[in-house]
Amino acid sequence: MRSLSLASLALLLLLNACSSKSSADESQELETITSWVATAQMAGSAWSQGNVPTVYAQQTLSQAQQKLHKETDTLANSSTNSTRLHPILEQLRLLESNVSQMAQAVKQKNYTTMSQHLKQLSTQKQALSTLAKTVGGQ
Amino acid sequence: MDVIRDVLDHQLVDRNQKKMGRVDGIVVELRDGQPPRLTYIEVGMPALARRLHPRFEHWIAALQSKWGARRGETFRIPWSQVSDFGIGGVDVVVDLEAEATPALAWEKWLREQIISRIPGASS
Amino acid sequence: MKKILQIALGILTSIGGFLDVGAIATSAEAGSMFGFHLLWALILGTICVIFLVEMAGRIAAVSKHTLMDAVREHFGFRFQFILLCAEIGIDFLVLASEIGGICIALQLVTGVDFQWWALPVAFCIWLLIWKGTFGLIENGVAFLGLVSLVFVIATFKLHPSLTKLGAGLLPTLPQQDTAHYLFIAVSILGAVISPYLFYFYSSGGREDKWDEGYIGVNRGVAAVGMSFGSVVSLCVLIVAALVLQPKGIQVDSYQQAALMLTQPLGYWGFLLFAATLGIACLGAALEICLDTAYIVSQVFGWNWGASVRPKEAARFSLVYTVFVFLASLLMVIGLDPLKLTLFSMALTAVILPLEIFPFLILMNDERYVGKYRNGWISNSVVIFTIALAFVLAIFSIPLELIAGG
Repeated sequence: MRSLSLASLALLLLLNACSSKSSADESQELETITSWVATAQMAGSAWSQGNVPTVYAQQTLSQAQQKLHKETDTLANSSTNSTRLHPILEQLRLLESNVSQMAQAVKQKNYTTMSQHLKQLSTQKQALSTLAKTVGGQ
Repeated sequence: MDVIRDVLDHQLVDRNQKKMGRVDGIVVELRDGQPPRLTYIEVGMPALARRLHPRFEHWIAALQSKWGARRGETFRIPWSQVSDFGIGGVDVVVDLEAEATPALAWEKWLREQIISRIPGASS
Repeated sequence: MKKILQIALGILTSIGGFLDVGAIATSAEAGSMFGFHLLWALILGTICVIFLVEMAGRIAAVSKHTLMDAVREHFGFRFQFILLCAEIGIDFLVLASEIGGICIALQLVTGVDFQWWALPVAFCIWLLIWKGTFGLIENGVAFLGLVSLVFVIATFKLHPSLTKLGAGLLPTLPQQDTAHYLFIAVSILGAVISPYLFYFYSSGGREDKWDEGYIGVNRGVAAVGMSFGSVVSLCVLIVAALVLQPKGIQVDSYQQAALMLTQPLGYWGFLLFAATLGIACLGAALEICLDTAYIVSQVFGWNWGASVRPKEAARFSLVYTVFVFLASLLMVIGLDPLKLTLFSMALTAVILPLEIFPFLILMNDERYVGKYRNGWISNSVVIFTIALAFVLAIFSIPLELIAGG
């Protein structure tokens, strides 16, 4: 009996772990964001070089866009001091729209727009990391 | 001989070395003034369930007699039919034909009702 | 000559057996997040699993018992019932993860969402066991599993710095993310020391009718095979550390991991990543299905065997049939395959003491292994590793769950 209840407890914990994400601190959110921006960058340039299938690039880019959207929302809602984060949130919205345009470019197999978006992405990424440093330093 | 060590829980095979379960229980007859005598070995889920909790035995037996092969009772083999058993982990051999005993009732029921109806079961 | 062939075949099989969804996922995660810092966990796990696999083969060869047979005879049914429930539970989660790995591989190549693949994949696994023999399953998967050597090639192309690699062999705590670091260390240990491997290996020894003459073969296969398997996992970690970590990509989905071979190997890298993931998971899924049917049958004394026709082992066949389809349902409902994998591996570490200590007692019991008893080295290595994995798991799993997985 005891093993049964233990097993059900474990299952509950498992379902919890696999479905929801509770609040985490800002720096972790920013790490996740950086990770997905880098993923979009790598997937986009790999697609440009013909190193990954189109359908994969499209899926990964839209996944990255969704993750960015979700993390931006979490940041916006979780923070008590949203004016401090305002420039970062602004930058994140720009990033997200850029990533979704990249997904569009893959869909239309438009390599020229893709290379433009990639360039934009790398400047935006740099801007974000500078912003994150100044905000984190306060 | 040590019944618990050398018989209980050991693999049970018939005279053709066909696997027919494990020795799930042992029935011992207590006699006045004489040493106890081993009378039966038991095979089957109800006997096993009893070892987890006495109440489980009835549940399993009731379940098994209503569903599937409808064989609820524990199968008891008289000790006299045990032809060989091992010291240090050898199978317990009984002088029976496994297919003809209730020990394989569920195996046979599953084979006929489910497994053999799936294509490729006998190849 | 026959023995050499057997060793070669056994080693090949072990590479396939070692590398599964757990090994790939934990190595990729570890490399992308912590660089070379978790190499020690992989090496420690490998040393421990070499000893354990050798023991599982030895008990089958000497006592003519599978591990589960011996546990029931020695410890009785009550204890074994708990062990059986724990092992079936873990097998269930790990099998679902392996099916998830195959589905993800198919999604990477076709673009069709992984949930749609779960049932067809379960059907193929079932069909292979239903129609195939033990040799076909083992050797077929083993040869296909050689595709995983692509990670070794990629590692050589990336020229890792040997001094940094060496530094990773010493256990260190990172400055930040300590909880997650320990969680991944536990997952690596759980992935490398998979209990199903021992039950499966000892059952395999019985299926191949091993006797005392196989002691040497067994030792060679365990040591060399597991080491080779571990080299591939090491290379997954190294490639992830060299390709993904500098970019800041932290693997929290298989999509991200799939990029790691495109830098050194281009389009072929992408395809071979998918192929390795799919084949390694297929091999492991077959083994776990069979393992579960083996242990249930052995506990109750039913007839069992992968090469036996389903009709002659009806209950055995029913177990894997039901099990594989049930496990695939976890993927149908869309649990995140990577999170499920990491979590199952960490949970494995929690139940390791329950699985391993009875095993050690048997390996020191003359009635089972006679003069081929364990020496003090193998006993202490195994006890140390299992205890470490357990303690780390107890601390890091709650922390990981609080942080939100």
